Amino acid sequence: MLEVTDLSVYYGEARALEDISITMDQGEVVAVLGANGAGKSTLVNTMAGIIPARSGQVLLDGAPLQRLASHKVVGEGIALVPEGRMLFNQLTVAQNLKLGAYSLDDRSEIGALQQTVYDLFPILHDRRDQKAGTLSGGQQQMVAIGRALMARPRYLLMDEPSLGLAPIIVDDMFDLIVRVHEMGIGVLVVEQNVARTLEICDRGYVLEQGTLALSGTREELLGSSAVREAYLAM
Amino acid sequence: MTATQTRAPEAPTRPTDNAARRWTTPGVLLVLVIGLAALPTLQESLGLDAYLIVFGYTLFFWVTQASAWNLFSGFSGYLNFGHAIFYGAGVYVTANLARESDPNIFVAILGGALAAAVVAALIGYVIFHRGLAHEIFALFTFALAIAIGVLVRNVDAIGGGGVLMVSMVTYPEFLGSVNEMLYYLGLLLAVVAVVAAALVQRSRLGLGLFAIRDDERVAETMGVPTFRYKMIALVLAAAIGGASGALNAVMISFIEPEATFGIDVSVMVVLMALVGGRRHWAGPVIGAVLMFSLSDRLTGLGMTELSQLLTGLLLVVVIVGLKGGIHERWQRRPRAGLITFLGVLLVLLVTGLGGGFIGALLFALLAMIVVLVVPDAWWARLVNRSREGQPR
Repeated sequence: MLEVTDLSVYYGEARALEDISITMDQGEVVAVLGANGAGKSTLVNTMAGIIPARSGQVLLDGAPLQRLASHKVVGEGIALVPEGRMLFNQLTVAQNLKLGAYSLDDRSEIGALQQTVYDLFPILHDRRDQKAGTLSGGQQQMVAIGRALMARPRYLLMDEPSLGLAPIIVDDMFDLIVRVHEMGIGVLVVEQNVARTLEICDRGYVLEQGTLALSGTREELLGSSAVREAYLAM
Repeated sequence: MTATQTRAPEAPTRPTDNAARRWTTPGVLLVLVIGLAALPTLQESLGLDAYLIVFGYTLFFWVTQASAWNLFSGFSGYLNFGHAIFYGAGVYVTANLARESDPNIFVAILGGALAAAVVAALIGYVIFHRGLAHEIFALFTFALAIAIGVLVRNVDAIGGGGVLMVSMVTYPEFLGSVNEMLYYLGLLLAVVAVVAAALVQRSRLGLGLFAIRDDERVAETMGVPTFRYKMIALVLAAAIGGASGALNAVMISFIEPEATFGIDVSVMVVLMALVGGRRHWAGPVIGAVLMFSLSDRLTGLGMTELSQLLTGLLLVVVIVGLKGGIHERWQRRPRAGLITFLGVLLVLLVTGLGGGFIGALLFALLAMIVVLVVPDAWWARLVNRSREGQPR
């Protein structure tokens, strides 16, 4: 169980998040929806330990993750696929993947994880000696996800995975989220593509200006007139 | 996400590594080092110029310093413009030991390494602990080298009031004359520097440093201990630079703060690594051999000013035409580069047109650069045309 309780985050005096509480299980795909500036990215970055919280806690199986440096959070089983991918562009695909497993020590395990990633993305195996910066957008997103999977996460936080991808690849992207989920990994996905996200998630939270506006199961969100009007234009 | 598979062009596939391939480079280098180690013994019977021994030592010195610089700055991206601080720490250890009596050269080398390592640890702690940016590191090291030069000039306890003399050092007799001793120990330090750089490059530390160079913030979120790695690499680079400086004090023997901590060493190592390539241990080696033999030949012909002009010109050619340095382009055209280099070297040595070994080496390297500097697109067209021209 990954929990966020009464989380507030400020950038200086500016409020980014106020009293946010969410929960998710390892068996779930959970969506965080909302407009630009609603605080979605702040939420996942705080959960990944990159941004410090002003108050509130992030709990993994009841144990607080607060005050852990971001690389320690990786070791605890939470990996982030950051917005804009944040690859090491000058390094090869294989080096990028290896860096994802930096918090692990067991070499044979790292090799096995790498094989899992190559099985999931055969194209990355073909391109393993190519610089990540020279790949197409979709392939770069594969590297970003593969790199996060290399940390052997129990929970994967994905920040706008479909951003900047061609429409045909966006579909593949969402299929991929389902496949990652089938590997037994809990997925928290932040998205602006609400329609596609609501097709694949179990539950979702809607943020508005840093506060929690709505939460519920996929069916509840699809049935909500607020969601339909604001995000689905129905 | 199969759509992208058909859309993107196929990447060139590389043959998979095997044992033979993996041991080729170490094997070639081992043979080269053995050959170099045998040179002083064979020099007279081969009829080679005795100057080769002095030239060899100075070449090893630059290979050592440039490799040491690159081990930290090239790999991590933190450009150190004050490498002379570490070099100078070593020089002044020997110089100060020599004030009392003739020091043992091994004691001086170890002392030089230690002194430089301590200085590097202090500098690294101040800069990296505060997470200061790359630009600050470059400026800080540059300014610090100048400040230390002034300090040494004015503190008699270190600088001896301006000039210190290293007239003689003690060393085991089997190392031969002073020049031969310098040659052997210089070669040893060069091997240490190059092997250290190659090992770091292949290690977890190296991967971490490359990640820091590419994006330090992301590296940190991946779990790379950025502070520790920068400290380790900087201290290691400094220790090698200091050890080599301690030995070089014997070569220069007349030790002055301005010459020691001035921009000569600091800038030269940066340029050598830049020309050769900073992403691989072989880069600074190539850069050092090229730039030192160029300046040596021209200085030998009494053209010191022309040497500076040509060095500048070479820099422009490499920076504009060979982004990433000679080695990076060489990796894309290894066969063409190697054949040109060895071919020209052999022809010049046999015909004697190069004016001795050093000249032949220099011209062979320059010829190799000419082959490598051709842009990829032109090169592909050239290769295709020559293939079409052949009878089927």
